[in-house]
Amino acid sequence: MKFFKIALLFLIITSAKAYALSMGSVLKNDYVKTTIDKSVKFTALFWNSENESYIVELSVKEAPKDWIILIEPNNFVLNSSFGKEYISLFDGYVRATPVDIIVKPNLAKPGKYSITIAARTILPQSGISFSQERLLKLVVEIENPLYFEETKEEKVISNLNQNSYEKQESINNFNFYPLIILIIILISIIIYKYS
Amino acid sequence: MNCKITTLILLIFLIALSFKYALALNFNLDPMIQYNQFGQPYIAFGDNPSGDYINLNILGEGLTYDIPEALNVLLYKLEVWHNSSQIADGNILSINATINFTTNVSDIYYLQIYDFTNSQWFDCNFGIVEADTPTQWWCNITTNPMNYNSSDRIVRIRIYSTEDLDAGLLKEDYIQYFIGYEAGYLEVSLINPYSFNVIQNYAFPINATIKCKNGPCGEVTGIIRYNSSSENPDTPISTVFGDFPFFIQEEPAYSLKSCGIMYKDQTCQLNWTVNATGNVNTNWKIGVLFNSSYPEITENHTSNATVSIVSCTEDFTLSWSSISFGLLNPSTEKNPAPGNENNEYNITINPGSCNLNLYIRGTDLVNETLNSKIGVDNITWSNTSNDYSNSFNLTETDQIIKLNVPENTNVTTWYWINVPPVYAGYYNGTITITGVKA
Repeated sequence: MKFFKIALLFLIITSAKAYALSMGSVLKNDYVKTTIDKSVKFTALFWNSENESYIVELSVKEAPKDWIILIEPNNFVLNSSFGKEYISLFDGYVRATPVDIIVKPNLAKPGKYSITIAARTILPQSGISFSQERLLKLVVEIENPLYFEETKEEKVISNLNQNSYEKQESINNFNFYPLIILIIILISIIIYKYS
Repeated sequence: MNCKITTLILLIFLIALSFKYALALNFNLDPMIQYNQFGQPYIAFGDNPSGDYINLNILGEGLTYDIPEALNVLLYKLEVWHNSSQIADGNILSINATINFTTNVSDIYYLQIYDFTNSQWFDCNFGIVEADTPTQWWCNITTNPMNYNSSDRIVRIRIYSTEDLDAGLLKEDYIQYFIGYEAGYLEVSLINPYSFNVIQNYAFPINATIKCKNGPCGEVTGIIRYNSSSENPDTPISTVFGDFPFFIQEEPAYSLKSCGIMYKDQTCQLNWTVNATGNVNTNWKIGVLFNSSYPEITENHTSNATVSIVSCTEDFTLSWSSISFGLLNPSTEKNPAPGNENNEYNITINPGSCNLNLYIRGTDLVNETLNSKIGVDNITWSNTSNDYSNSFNLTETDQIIKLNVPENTNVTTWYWINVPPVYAGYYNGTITITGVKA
C-alpha cells in the first residue's frame, strides 16, 4: 500500500505528432509447386503512399518444422520515395519495395504446406503507437511421384550403412575385448609380484 | 634604214586611223543603245528605227547614256513576284524554283530569289529571252538555303525584264518548286515506369509523348499494343470491354489516337486508360507505335513497359499513428482519446485492396525507468460508436474489429483508458491493427 501512497497524483501519457500510417502489400505469387528439397521463391511488394517513413519488420509466424525460410530483406525502411519496383494504384504509380521469401522444404512428404509471414510496421512514438500488420499466407505444394521409391532407395542405403556400421562395430569389439583381458592380466601380475 | 621607214609608215597609219574615228563621232552617226548578254548597254551605230534621238557620252572606259526628260520617251519594264508558302518548316537542304515562260518580245530578263537573311535579291539567271520561245529558267539554291526561307516559310522569287523601249507580254506557263529538306523524326517515349505492377481487373494509365524533330512530321498517330504472339508488342489493345488480357477502359475506346498535324519541335501526349484482365502472376509488354502520314518518315516505337499483373492487394491506411491521452490522474476511468469526439480514428481500405478482416491487439503500457506498467486491458476500444459502454477491453491477442471489409470503406474506431494508481511518468505501448485477406 505504501507504493500507492508514494505514487504521484497524475499520470502522463504523451505522444508526438500523429501521422497517417499507410501500408500496402501484395504477394506476386502465393502458391508454388515444387519437388522435395528444391528451394522456391515468393515475392511480396510493400509500399507506403504516405509521407512518413517507417520500418517494416518481417518474421516467420508459421512454417513446417525444420524448413528453411529466408526473408530478404527482413527489416527495411519503407517510404514513398524509394523502392525498386512500381505499382499502379488509384492515384498513380507508387514505388514499392520487393521482398523475396525463399523457402527450402525439408523432409516433407508430398502435399500442401502453409507458411505465414508476418510483416509489421514500426514507427516508435511516445504514448500509444499504432502499428499495422499483414499476414502473408504462402502455400508450397510438394509433388514428388518418386518420393516412395526414393525412400526405398534411401532405406536400402540406410540398411547398407547400418550393416557396414555393425560390421565395423563387431570388428572394433573383436579388437577391444582381448586387449582389455590382456591389460587386466598384466595388472594382476604386477599386483601379485609387488604386493 | 628599212627599220626607220617601217616605223614611220606605222606611225602615219595610226594617226590616220585616230583621225577617222574622231571624225566619225563628230559626224554623229545615229548611235543606238543595245545590250549585251549580260544586260550591259553598248553603242551600235546605224539607223535609229524609232526615230528618237539619243545623246551619248563616252566616259572613260565605261559607257553610260542619258535620256533627256524633254524627249518624253516611254520605257517599259515587266516584273512578276511569287511568294510561295512551303511546308518544310525544318532544316531545308536545297531550294529549286523553276519557271516556264514565254514572251512575245525579245528582251532581257532577270530571275531572282530573295535572301531573307541578308535582305537582298540573288540572281539566278538573266539574259536575252527570244520572242515566242518557250523558256525554262530556274533558281537552284544549295548554299545556305535557309536564308531563302522566311520565318513564315515563304520562298520569294521574281522575274523581270530590263527597263527599255520594248513593250511586251510575259506568259508564265507554270512554276515548280523543289524543296529538299531534312525529314522529320518522331522522338517517342513512354512516361510510365518501364516495369510496373498492376492489379488484376483494375485500370492503369499508359501515357506516351512524341516530339517532332528536325522537320515537319505530318499527321502523327499512335497505337497502343501488347505482345500477344511474340516477344514484343504486336497487337493493338482491344477496345472491347472485358477482353483478355487488356482492354481500353474509355468511352469511346480507341487503340489508335492522333496528334494531328505536327510541325518541327511540336510535342504531343497520348493517354490511354487500360484495364488488366490477364491472369495473376503473368508479365506482358506494352508499347506505343507512332506513325506519320509522310511516307518518308519512319515509324517509331516507344520502349516497352513490362507489366506484371498481381492479385488484389492488402492496403489500408490508419488516419493516425499514435494517441495522446494527455495529462491524466491515476485511478480515473473512461478517459477518452482526444480524437474520439471528432471520429478521427479511421481505418480506410484503399482502392484495389481485397476485402480485409481487421483485427486489433495491444501491449501493456510501460515505463521502463520506473519499472511500472498499465495493463493492456485498461485500454478499451469500440468499433460502433463513441460510447464507452459499447467498448471492449483491449487484449494481447487479436480481436475482430470488422470482417470482410471491402475497398473504399472507412471503419471508425474509438478509444478510452482507465488509469490505475501508478507512478507518474511516461508510459509507452503499442496497438497493432492487422489486416488479413478475407
